[in-house]
Amino acid sequence: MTLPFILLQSVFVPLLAILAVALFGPRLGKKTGWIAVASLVYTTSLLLISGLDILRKGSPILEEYSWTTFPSLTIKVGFFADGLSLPVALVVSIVTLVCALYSIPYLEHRIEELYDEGRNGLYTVYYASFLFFAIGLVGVSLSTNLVALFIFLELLLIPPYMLIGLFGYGKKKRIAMIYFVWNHVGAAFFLIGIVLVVIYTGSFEVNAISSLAGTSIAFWVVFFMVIGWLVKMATFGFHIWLPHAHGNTPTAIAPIIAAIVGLGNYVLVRLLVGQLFDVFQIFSMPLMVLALITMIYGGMLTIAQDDIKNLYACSTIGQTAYSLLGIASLSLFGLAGGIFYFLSHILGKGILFHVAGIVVTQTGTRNIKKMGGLVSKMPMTTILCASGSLLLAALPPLSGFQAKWIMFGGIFTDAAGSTPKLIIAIAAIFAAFLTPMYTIWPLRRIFFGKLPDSLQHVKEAPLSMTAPLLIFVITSLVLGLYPDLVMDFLTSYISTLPW
Amino acid sequence: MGLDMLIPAPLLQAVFIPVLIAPITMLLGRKYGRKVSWLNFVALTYSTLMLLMVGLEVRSAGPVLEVYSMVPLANVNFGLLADNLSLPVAVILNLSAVALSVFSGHYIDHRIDVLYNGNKKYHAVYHTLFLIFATGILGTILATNLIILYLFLEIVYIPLYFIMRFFGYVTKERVALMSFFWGTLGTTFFLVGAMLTYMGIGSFQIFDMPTLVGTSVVDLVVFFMLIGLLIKMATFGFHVWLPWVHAEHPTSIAGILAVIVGLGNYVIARILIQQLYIPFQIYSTPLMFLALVTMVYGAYLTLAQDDIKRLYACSTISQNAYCLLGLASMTSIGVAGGIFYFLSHSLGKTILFSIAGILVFRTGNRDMRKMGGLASKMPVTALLTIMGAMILSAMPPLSGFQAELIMFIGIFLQGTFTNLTSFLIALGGIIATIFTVAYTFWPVRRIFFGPPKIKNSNSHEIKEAPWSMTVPLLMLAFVSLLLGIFPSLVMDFLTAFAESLPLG
Repeated sequence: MTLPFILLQSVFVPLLAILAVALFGPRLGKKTGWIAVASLVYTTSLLLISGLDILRKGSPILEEYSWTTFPSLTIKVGFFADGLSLPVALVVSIVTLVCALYSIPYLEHRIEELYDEGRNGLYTVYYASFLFFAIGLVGVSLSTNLVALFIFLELLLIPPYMLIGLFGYGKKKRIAMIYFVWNHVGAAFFLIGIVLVVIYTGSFEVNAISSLAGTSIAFWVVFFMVIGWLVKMATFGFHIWLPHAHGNTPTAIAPIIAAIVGLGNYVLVRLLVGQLFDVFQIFSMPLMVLALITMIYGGMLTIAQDDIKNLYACSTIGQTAYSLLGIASLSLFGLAGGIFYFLSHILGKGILFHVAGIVVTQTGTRNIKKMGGLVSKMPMTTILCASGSLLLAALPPLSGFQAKWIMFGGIFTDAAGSTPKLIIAIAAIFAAFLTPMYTIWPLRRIFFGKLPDSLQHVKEAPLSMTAPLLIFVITSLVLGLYPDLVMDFLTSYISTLPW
Repeated sequence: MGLDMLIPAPLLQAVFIPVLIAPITMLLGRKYGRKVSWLNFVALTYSTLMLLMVGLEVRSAGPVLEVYSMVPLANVNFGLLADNLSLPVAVILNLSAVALSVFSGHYIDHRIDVLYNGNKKYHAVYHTLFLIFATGILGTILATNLIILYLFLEIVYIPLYFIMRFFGYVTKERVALMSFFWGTLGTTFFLVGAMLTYMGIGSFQIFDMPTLVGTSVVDLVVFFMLIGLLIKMATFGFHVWLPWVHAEHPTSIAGILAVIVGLGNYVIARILIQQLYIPFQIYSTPLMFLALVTMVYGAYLTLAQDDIKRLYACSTISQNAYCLLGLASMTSIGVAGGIFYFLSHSLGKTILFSIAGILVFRTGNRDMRKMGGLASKMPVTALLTIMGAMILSAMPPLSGFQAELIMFIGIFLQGTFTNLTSFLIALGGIIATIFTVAYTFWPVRRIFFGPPKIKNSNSHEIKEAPWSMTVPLLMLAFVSLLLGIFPSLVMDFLTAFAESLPLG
């Protein structure tokens, strides 16, 4: 028995929470975060229940709401949870939830650092903005309507602008602007694609895109949408904004930024691969080459970093390209593995960014060159960082390992008979091999070696900061040991594609 | 299958019990320190018993296969196979782990005293990580699926990195990273081979691989897998990392690392010889030459060492190449002998390296030039070193003799080599053996006999090692003796395996 309006609730309950935050925030002060956490626990549970429901019934959940403003114009807004969208919605929800939990101690510290007065109001602003993440992310994942999707996407620009501007690092206002402008430009290209679809099909539905197949306009739709998302995914050539923005966001929301960056993988599959499979084929090779270059470039950029936050920020570039490689290959397991890898990555990136936040908070520095030997002072944090690093490095038994071999299995199957594709595939495995280097080496630099005198005073982070990260670790361990939990969903979706 | 009914899933248990015990070890270690090694001992003995039980089954009824579904759509099943090849390898290598689990107790205790002021937490760290080795090694040997094999091949690098990082010597951070890098580089090459296999036949199952023969991709598969394995085996040209890593790790895992390095031999036998014999043929002669060069070079390098740990480390390069020689000969008895030699060497190297550990433990010193005349104070240790030397030098009645004998019989009687090749093989083998005798027995003399060179302040502390360090090694020596006198215990399995191969 399904709860009524389950998907609608999972998207919009955070809106109610925003109201609650606005009303009670000024009085609750630093406890305001618990409103956000409560609403996110609720929506995540709803998504979990939906997932179980889909598994049991074997069919997706579709909710459609008609909004008739004019007699002749019925706007349908729908939410669709299937094998593709549900795992994505669920995992980004978990990420948002953990970030909310982490925000509570983190924000207290940050506000103390930055502001002397008006503090209670700041908590309200933070959590109200934060909750837009939840609405936007789940909304984008589940939307069936292009305009609604675009609106949810634009909603996602509000929180970073507010939160980086108010609570970020470095030249916060400027960086908030950089994020806003670049992502808006990306969204604008995406919008051109949407507008083309609406004009030529007369429909706002995502599913209408497939009716363009065979027309000459289809190519342009794919082109503009791809460009738009490549900007937002910080692929090589469009990547300039990410190190600044991602490295200077308030650490509590950095994983969510990573999720938004990687969300492009999902959208590309949902909109383009799913609807315009044959047209997308044209883009397959160029995208694979671009992804490969991004992986290598991203990897090298990451190794060069000395600032702990910038390091993990730059690694997002390469990791997102990983998934793009799988998706661009247009093979069954490449697609499934690519999405699986995206989910695995944001879990791992969540751990690592929060660990970075812990390290910065406890040591007072971001510079890795000044760190070392922290394992003796912060054992729990070290274990968490090791887990996150292993996750990104795709080492067993965490989920990254499963995602990686599944993805490459697909890429290689697709490469059969084609030497250029085979070369790309083999090069990609070696590019992937870079990842353990740039995750293990920082681990070593930060936590092992000699403890500098300046850091003798450092203590372990409070449980309120380390415990939430265990949610990430456990999730990725479960998926690592039982990859079928996710693969069942993804393969059921992918088998619907026109092979 | 009779015995299997009694205890279900013995192979699964053998592989996973160590890892399942790990959290308990973690918790108890913080309180009990060194004594938690006994928990490890129990866990690993249990898994050995499981393997022995399966061994009886394999002897009487045939291979034992357990299959568990993992990602059915990708045709990836978690299968564990105990057959004539994998079972003897699994049992003997697991015995090394059992012995080292006990040996580690005192050794790491000492190391923790030196490094961390006796902080008990580190015992927990070491012994927990140690268990992962056991799982990784057994998993690699029993796996039937390339992805699973790859999983277990990779997973051992996690505990290796962290144990080296925490308990290693000299520039341990750098060496830990080196071990991780080279190891995963090797496994990455192997992964390319696995992926190419999937591309070629749509399956990751090892026993489906013969259908690769004749496809365009099979040569690439063999190439990539071979390179990956040669890197892991530190064969000449790929060997640079081993002297560092193998010398600077805490000695209590030296035997484990020798096993990890040598596992390449097993994988070659399992995949390249058993499955892909025909495309692998062409590598036979080049690999034999490579093996010879490695044997001689490794032995020569070893002779030059003064540091006892580096000495044994370098000797692994040479000894491993013996196995490779046997395998590369592509003769059924040569292959069987090669695997037997691998097992024998694992026993011997574990003993010898652990002796080095005992010496460090008792004398605080690695440099042989500063040792001498210790036999009177450490008779058991001296005896063990001699036995270890005999194993490596292939002297009867220990196992090394039987293994090498069988291997060379196979190579010469069955191989159809040109006269020149045969001559070179014989020559190389003899030179390497002479060097081996020298580098195993000369240290015995330098360390245990002759005038003592230890500084007076230390000499009164030197006594025999505690029995928890010597008895496990004696057990391994005993196994080697057993195999030396009754080689059929192992050879029955290996010959049955070898005869099932389509070789000459």
